[in-house]
Amino acid sequence: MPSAADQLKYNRALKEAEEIQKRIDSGVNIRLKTAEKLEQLQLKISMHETKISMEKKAQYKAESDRYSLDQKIERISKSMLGNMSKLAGKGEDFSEMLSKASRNAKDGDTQVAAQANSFADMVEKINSGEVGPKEILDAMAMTDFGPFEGSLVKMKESLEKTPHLQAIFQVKAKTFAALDKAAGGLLTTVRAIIAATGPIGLLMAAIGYIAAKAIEAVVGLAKDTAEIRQNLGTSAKDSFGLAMNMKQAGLAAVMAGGSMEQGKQAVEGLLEAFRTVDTVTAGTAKSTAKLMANTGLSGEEAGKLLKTMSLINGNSIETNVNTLLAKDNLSEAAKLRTANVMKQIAGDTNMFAKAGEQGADALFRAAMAAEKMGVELNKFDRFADSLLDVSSTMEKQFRLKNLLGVDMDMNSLMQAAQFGTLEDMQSELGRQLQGVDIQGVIGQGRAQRNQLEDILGFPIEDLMKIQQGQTVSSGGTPPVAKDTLSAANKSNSLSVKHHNENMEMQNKILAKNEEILTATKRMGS
Amino acid sequence: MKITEQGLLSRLYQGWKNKKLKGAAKKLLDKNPDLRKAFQDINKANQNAIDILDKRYKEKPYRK
Repeated sequence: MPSAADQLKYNRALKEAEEIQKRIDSGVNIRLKTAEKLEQLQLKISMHETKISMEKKAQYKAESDRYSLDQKIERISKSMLGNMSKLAGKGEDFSEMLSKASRNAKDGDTQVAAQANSFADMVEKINSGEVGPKEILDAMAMTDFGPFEGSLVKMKESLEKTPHLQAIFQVKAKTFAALDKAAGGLLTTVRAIIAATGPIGLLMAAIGYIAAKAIEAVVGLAKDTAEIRQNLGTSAKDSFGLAMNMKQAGLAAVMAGGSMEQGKQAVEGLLEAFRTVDTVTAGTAKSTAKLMANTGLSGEEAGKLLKTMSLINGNSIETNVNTLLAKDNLSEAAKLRTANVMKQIAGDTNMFAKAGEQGADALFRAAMAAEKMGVELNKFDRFADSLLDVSSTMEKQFRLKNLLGVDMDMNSLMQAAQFGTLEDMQSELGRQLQGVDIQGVIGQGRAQRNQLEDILGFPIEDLMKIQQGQTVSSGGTPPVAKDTLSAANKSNSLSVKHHNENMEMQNKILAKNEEILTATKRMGS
Repeated sequence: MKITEQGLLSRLYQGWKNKKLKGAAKKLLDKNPDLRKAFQDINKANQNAIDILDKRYKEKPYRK
């Protein structure tokens, strides 16, 4: 049994142990709290480090963007597009605007750097002819161009207004890319020759290069001559002359934005149409190639068209090319696809021949109007021919009025077809269709729709286009009346004959109308 | 600055190329007044973009 003194000692020791335990617990708590604080601090440090790292990366990216932008500005300022912007005047050119963006990017505007880079990329693509209006719209749908969007919209509008602009950019870019490549290769060679042999070696190499190129040209010409002789069946002397003309014509086509191949096609087209080698001179071949490059006509089409023109007006090929180029400019000014207008005429040179010298201008205007409507020109020519059978035309009028309820003055159309130009006939048909309810006929049913197509000789779609379409005639004196007067003097007897036939047919129509009325009355009684 | 044959040729070529491009650009614009007008409209839009950039900078000077 422990004594009282032992018990006291034990109690004291127990208390001390409790106090020690309390101190230990308090120490542990303090350490735990410190550890927690440390952990929080470490997390904060880590977050700061990540933030600093990201900011550094963003800064590098911004620097890289700005560097890339400056390079693009340099390239754009020396590009075709950049030069056009500089020369056009008013406002600011691309380089000036992008330089401003670059300065803002340097001052920390990371957003503008990205937007300006995207814009500069598009400018470079437009300059290389890679993108057109559609691709610009696609890019605008996907990318934020910020303040540069307005400029991009205007560029899209310019490309839309000038459809051949993209092709011009494409040709220029390709030509200069080829030249850059050649110049780059030449400079590398120059450096190597100078390093090995000094300036004298360079002179010798240049002489050798020129000699090699001359031999290459002679060999190429000999090869072309042989090919021409074989393909076109011309004599050796003529074939050589034609090969020379082909080269010159090819260069003329390239200068007008076409290709060397067009030179070859021009010579072949002229020879095929005019049948004599004498016609194919360097001058005529160059003019024809230039015409092809500008209008998009093939060698065969250009040859046929020029032959027909020379038969009609007796002018030289060069003069007729200039006339056609003037017409081409007119079509371009009317915002039409000039190649299509030319093809409308070149596609049927007989129609051109029929129009004669007097009617050539009117035919071009008719071709432009046909292109505007989207209806082939030779359909109007066929329609005009179909109107000349008086009895059939009167029957058509009768069918239109009585079967379909369509009121058209076929007599007036027939007059235009007989005495006027194709343009007059086209205008008259357009005018007459203004008063026709085509939708109403369509609504009557398939049979009536087919009847209308059969009577007028145009598909419904074309009739709607003609009804909506506009001619390019400037108005003034009604064409039919004007041409009727002049033509009537020339062909009075024909006119009188047709008039008598008209009267006879009209009397028949009146008689048939009477019969119908009588039959209708009988049905009612 | 050291003048080298290569540098001289390169500069000559670049000069020739720039002259050709400028000539072609001028010819296109002179031949087509509508195109010149279209490019003037583009330049006006460019001026407008510069004005927007100026305004944006004044409202929020990035590093200042």
